[in-house]
Order: sequence, then C-alpha cells, then structure tokens
Amino acid sequence: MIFKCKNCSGNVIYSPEKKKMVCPFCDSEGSQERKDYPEHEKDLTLCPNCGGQIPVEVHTAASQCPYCDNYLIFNSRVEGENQPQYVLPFQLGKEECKEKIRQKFKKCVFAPTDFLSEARLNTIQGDYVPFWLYDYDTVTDFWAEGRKVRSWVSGNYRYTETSYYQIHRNMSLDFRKVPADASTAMPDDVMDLMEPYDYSVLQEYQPDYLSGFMAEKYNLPAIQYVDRVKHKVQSDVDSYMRGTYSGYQSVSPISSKTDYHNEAAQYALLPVWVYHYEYGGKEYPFYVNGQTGKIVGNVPVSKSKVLSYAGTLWLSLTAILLLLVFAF
Amino acid sequence: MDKEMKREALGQYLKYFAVWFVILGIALVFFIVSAVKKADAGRTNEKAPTERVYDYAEVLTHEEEELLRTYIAECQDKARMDIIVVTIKEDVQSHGYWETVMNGKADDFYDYNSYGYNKVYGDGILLLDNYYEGQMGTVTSTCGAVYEAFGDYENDLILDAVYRYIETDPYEAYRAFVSESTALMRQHRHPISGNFIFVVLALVIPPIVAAIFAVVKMNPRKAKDTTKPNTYVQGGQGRMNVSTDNFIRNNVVKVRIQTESSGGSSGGRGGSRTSSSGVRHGGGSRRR
Repeated sequence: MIFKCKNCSGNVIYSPEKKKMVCPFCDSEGSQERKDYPEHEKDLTLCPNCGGQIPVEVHTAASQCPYCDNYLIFNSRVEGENQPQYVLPFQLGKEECKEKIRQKFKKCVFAPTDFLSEARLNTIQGDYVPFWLYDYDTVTDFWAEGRKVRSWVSGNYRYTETSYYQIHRNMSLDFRKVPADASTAMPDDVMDLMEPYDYSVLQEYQPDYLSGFMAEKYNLPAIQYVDRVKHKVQSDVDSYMRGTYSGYQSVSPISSKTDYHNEAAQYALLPVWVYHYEYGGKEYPFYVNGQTGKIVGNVPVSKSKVLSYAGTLWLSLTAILLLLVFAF
Repeated sequence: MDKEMKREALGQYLKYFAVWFVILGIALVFFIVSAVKKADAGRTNEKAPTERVYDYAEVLTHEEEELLRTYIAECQDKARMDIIVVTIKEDVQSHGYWETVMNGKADDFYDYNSYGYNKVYGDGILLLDNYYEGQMGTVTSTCGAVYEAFGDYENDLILDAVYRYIETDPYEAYRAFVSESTALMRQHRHPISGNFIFVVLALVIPPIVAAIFAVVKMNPRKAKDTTKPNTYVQGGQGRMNVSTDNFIRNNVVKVRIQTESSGGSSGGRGGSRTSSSGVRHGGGSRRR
C-alpha cells in the first residue's frame, strides 16, 4: 500500500512533530488516501508506483523506493497473522533526532571530524522494530540466611556478636509488556538498552503510522523469545527481592523459585532511529529511541585525533612542569 | 564544507587545551619573573671585607689559599651567602670550655667583620678551625637565612664532609666545607629547581598521563541500562504474601585488646646562641 495525497498525489507520510499524516509536497494535513496494489510475494521488489527495484528483505514490512522515494507498506507483511496489535508512533522527528545526536556527541572531540556533519546525519533512518511484549504473573518464594553483626568494648576485651536470621519472602509480581525485539537484524543488547518505552501512548495498529519509515515484521514467533524474556524478568525479580530485606551485614540466598502464570504475548512495532556511520572500514551503528530520544551506540574514535591531543598534553605538561621545576 | 569542519576541529582543539595553554603561559611568566629575580639578587652588603680565607694557623699554601678564594667566590653567589674560612692556632681552653670559646670566637669574627651576603650580620657561614695542640677541632657559625636553614642534621653533614679530609689535606677539607654548605643552601633556597628527581618526574609523568589519556579516550563509554526492576511491574510494585525474619542463633567472640606503648623521638634545632653583638648564630662543632 501507498498513502497518496488527495490534493497533489504526492506520498503522504506520518509526521512525528505534527502527530498526523502530512503531505510533504503540498503541506496538506490529513489528505491521505490509501492505495492498495495487488501483491505477490515474488513481486515485492518491484515498486508499484514506478516499477523500480526496491531493496526488500525477507522480513521487510515497509520500505522506500530508491527511485521515486515513495514509502511502501507491504500488505502481506502487516496483515493477517503478521498484523501488529500495537504500534508506538514515532514521537521524535528526524530533525529533533539529529539535534539530540549533535547535543550528545558535541563534546566527543575525538570523534571523526565529519561524524556530526549535516550530510552524514541526513542518512539517519526511522525503523519500526518488531517487538513481542510479554505479560507474566510471577510468584517467587525466596529463602536466605541473614547475618547481623554488632561489636562493643568492655574492659580490655572487644566483643563481636553475630546473629543469624532465616529470611523468607513470598512475593507476587505481575509483569506487563516486557519487551523483546523480534528482529535478528537488531542487536539484542542494544535493543534492551533502548528501553524503557512509555506505553501510555501505545496505539492500536494502523498502517498510516508506518508511512515515511522502514519497518520489519517479527522474524520469529513469540515462543522463540520466551527464554530471553524470562531471563530479564528473573533478573528484575531478583533485584526486587534484594530490596525487600535490609539491616543485615550480609545475606546468603538459600533458595529462590519463581513460578510463571498467565503468560501472554502481544506483537507491537516500536520506533527506532538508526544512524549508520562508517569509519575506517568499520560500521558504527547508532540507535535512538524514537520516543524518548535515548541514544545507544559507540562513538568511533579518531586515533589521529587522540594521538595529537595526547601529544599536546604530553608536551604542554612537560613544559609546565619543567618551567616550574626550574622556577622554584 | 571540508574547510569548515577542519576549522571547527581546530576550534575544538584550542577550546580543549585553553586551560592548559593558560597554565603554560602562567608557568612561563612565573619562570621569567623567577629568572629575573635570581639574576637581580646579587650581593648587597658592601661593608664586609672581600677577604674570605684567613689562614692564621698557616696550614694552607699560598696557592691553596688563592684556589680556595676563587672557589668561594664562585659558590657564594650560587648560594647567596658569605662563606668564610678561618684557621687559628690558639689556646682557647684557658678562657673557658673549648666549645663555648670556639663558638664565641667564630660568631664574633663574623659579626666584627660585618659579614652577611644580603646585609651586615646577614646570610652566611663561617668555619673556624683550631690547630692548637690538644685543642684541635672545628666549629661552624651560621647567621641569617643560613641559621634558619641549617639544623643539627645539616651542620653534621658539613662537618662530616670536612672531617673526611681534615687530617690529611686541610685544603680539600675546606673545599668540601664550601661545596657541602653551598649545596645545602641552594637546596634550601630552591628545593625543586635543578633537583634531579623533580626533573626526572617532570619528564616521566607527562608521557604516563598522556598514555592514560589516550587509552581512556580510545575506549568509548557504553550506554547505561535505564530500566528499573519495577519498570514493567503492574502498578509499580509487587504484593508481599509472606515476609518473615526469624532469629536462629547467635555467637559472641571475645578478643583481648592489644595495647602498644607509645615511643619515638623528635628532633630539633640545637646549638642556637646569641653572640656578643646580639646576633643570633647557629652551627656545629667537632673536636679531633
């Protein structure tokens, strides 16, 4: 499908700044008209608008034609069993995202000189990443031994008393919408660092939100990510449990067992801006949470810059110290 | 665009090192002021005689005396103090205790001749060596800044240097006196300047700092996990079904407290005295 403008036939896209569909050609708002094209799996790589070749991977749900620049949404990848239940629309526009990257890295003087250049930053691209959102009701039974130590002095002796306690906690924690990205193209650790998203603005899925962005459908069914999510949940349970006892010098866990109930998973698309920067033959991807603006990525370091700065530091420090040594 | 980015990078570089360059400028100014001050700090006492070697005991040859005078002239400007060597052959014990009389004679000789590098009774050191049979020995008299600088430790170092040669070669002994006292005073006046250890540190520390800087900056920092344990917990908190803390047992360990007797000693300045002119002198003495 393509969203066309009723007024000028231009490609209408979703504007995160205006939070509505906007035609970038005639500036009309809400003028979109959905146009569906007959779709065959083998023909997905041909743009229905201009016939140009589109880069479509096996899980691509939305893409942009490199010839006519129209944003295409592939019906077969967003409907039926592939239809997301929710979508979290981009709230951070491209310009705002670029500004956030500039602000965050402007003090990184060791980044290559063109890292924050307008030309490079313009390559930033909005992606809807498929996520499974899991619900779990958990009950954790936790046993541990706690030690309290107190000491005092009486006469010529120091007394140290160690008291041992049996700690027992049984706690119910109901987890809702714990995310796990269902995209093998996105690194799991980076996607975990993108969190949290504010689900209060999570919307029922509408294809309009995808126009103007790239999107993927889930790569594997929800069952495939259960272990990963349970690991995350268990880690949260353990952290939560540690906060329930205090006043002990040390605590040795004896046993901890978590039962999971009412398991459920929902499919959602969450927004991520991706900035692919290449330096020294190596890829440096940056990921920006399309809602909160949180940035995850390692800034490339220009070795020549670091060495010139280190050299300056070396020389100036040597000069300062020698001048002071011979002045006093 | 390329030119603009290079200009921006240069601007970043200058901004990054602005503080360092300011400190460097201050250090340079400080160094120049210090050098000018050192150059200006010449001898200011015109009243004292130019003679520095009085060999009344005639233990030095004429040539040795001249060499010693030249050497003292070289050293006293470096240390900014008058250095005087006096040898006598006198019965001092007929006037009282050897040490008291020798100290008095040394102090009075210094004061009577108005020695002092910066002023009359100013900075200087005098060595008085007695060659009278059975009363042989050496005393030093310090005055002004030298008195303030030299404690027992320094006075002993000077006498140690003298006594390495005094029995065999008086000239070498007095030369050692001049050399040792000059080195000690220079070290006192400029505790850092020219000190080998500080120079080495000034050359060794910067590359280490620069290397640490380079290593730290080459390793980018990772983003932090910003989720909390209750981020996905419904209502933000759990329900506690059971929460018990039951006392099981305790044990008490009793340890005798070890007491240590206090000890140690403290050092201080010895040999402070006031001469007949009312000037404060210091110094050490040693008999042979």
